[in-house]
Amino acid sequence: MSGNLILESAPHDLSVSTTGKVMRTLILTLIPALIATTWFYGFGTLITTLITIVSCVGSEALWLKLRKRRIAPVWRDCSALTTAVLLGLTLPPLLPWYLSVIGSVFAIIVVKQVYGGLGQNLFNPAMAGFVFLLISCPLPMTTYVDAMPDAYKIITPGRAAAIIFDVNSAEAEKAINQDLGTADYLKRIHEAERSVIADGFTGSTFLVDAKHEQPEKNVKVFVEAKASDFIFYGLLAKVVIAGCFLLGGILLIVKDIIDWRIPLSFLGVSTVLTAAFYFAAPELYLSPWHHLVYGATVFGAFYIMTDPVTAVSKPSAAWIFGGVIAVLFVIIRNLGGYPDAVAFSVLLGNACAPLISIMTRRREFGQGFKPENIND
Amino acid sequence: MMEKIFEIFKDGLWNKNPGLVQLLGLCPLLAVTSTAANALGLGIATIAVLTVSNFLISAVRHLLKAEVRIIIYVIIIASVVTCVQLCMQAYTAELYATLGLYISLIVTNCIIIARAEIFASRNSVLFSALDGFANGLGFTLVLLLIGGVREIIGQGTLFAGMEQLVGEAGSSMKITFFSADKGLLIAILPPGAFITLGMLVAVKNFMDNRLFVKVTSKKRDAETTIVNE
Repeated sequence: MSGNLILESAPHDLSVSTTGKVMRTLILTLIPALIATTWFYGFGTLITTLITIVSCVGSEALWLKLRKRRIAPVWRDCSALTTAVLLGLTLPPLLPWYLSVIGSVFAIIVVKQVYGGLGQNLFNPAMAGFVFLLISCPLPMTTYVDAMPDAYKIITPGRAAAIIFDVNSAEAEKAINQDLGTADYLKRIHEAERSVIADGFTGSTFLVDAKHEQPEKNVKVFVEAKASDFIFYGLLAKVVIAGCFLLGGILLIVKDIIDWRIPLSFLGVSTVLTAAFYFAAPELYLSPWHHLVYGATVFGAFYIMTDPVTAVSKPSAAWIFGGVIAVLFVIIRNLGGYPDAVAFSVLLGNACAPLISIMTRRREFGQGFKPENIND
Repeated sequence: MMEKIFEIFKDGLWNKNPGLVQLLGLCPLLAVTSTAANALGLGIATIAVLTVSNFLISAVRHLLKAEVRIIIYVIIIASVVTCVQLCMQAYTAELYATLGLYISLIVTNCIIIARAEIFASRNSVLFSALDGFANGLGFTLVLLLIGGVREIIGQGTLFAGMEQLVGEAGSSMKITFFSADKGLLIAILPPGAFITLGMLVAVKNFMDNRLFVKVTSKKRDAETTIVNE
């Protein structure tokens, strides 16, 4: 048959993908980001991810057993594993182990299995688990490790595990602080600023600090003050990790696993809206650049919002879905109380998804058919 | 007679529990159950109002015209609530300050008007009063359970603040499981109330299904043996 003749008849499933294959590809694309996170923040994230993997897969298997279902799908479809990796990447690296376990169990059992298991859940399990922990324990959930060069040498697996499992954690913290104090990059930094670094290696994130400057003080001054000194490493870490997520996301789009419209619509609308805020009052709001790089913006756009279960599936609905999340995201970030708004806006967007699906029309079968939109 | 009383209590406490089955009075159920002491305080007030209002409405049920009965119910319930409110203000002032608005909102609690309309307007004075008590007790137990679960998860204590309810002796009733800073705050916040209530309803349905399945399978076994014989 010649190439310009395309037959469209009853819906043909052209792809040979299975849930397990899709999930495994998704996890593989996250590996660069995991390596970059370990490089800049030490081994905390890896250990936290291991904890979430064990508790997510364990609780899913346990729950399926209680429901008298087959347990084999836990390994075959890898959905619990994906939730675990996504959750592990978003949690603070040195979070106490029991909080990681509680978040994972909530994500799998309450958010996913209670609604009926894979494909039935209304909300993204990883983000719901994250929000559950953020509301429950605001302090540990906003204490992130500061980016530092050679972090993988300073926060070694042993020290990270000591802090996470609270065994000899004081000694581990002391050792980390000592290593930080003697790190050779300190020589490149102005003497007055060294004490700032030696103070400690964890703290609230850039977004939280900026939020607290607002509205009494000037966010612009705060950003300029932070920009000159060691925060450079923080910025570098953020840019590299966001780049890793972007790379992985583009790979997923090329492999036709996620819908490119959702991240594009989300990133586009949020850039425009944050720019509008920024140009209206630059002393009150962060620039679009900061909003895109800091926090989980890129990660959320490619990996969280495109979750096939909780997102919309129609192309026309995808644009609206991304836009709705972007509007919520910008409102919560700029005007709300929680600094990183991705998790909340995604959950609210999930709640809107069924309505958006109903209110957008699907292309009638056979109508306006072009070879390009064969999958629409 | 005894059978009917047994039936009333069985319905109020389990089969038609206002909190878990009828899902009535969700506003106080979710709003004041952040600690067990608050839940118990509101529960006792509800028991008192339900028993007395059911008693009064049953006593005057023959005098009422059908067209205006709801208005009369509301007037009776509002008077009883006002009495309870004044009593609480006099004897448990601190608890009254905590519960405040929700005491007067008992007037609008749908359990009370539901029991008046469904039960008290058709049954004798004794049964009506017992029905009010049974339903109030069922509601209070659910309140106490939700309050206890939320308090333990949220701040690691149980029966904190009981001195507001029972005087000095209450302060020794406080049980501490772990320090408050390790609690999961979400349990005290509104989402915690919804999640806890949902879980409780699920547990009750699960137990009902199991009991029900057992009973029917026993019946079926009995039937098959009869057929076989």
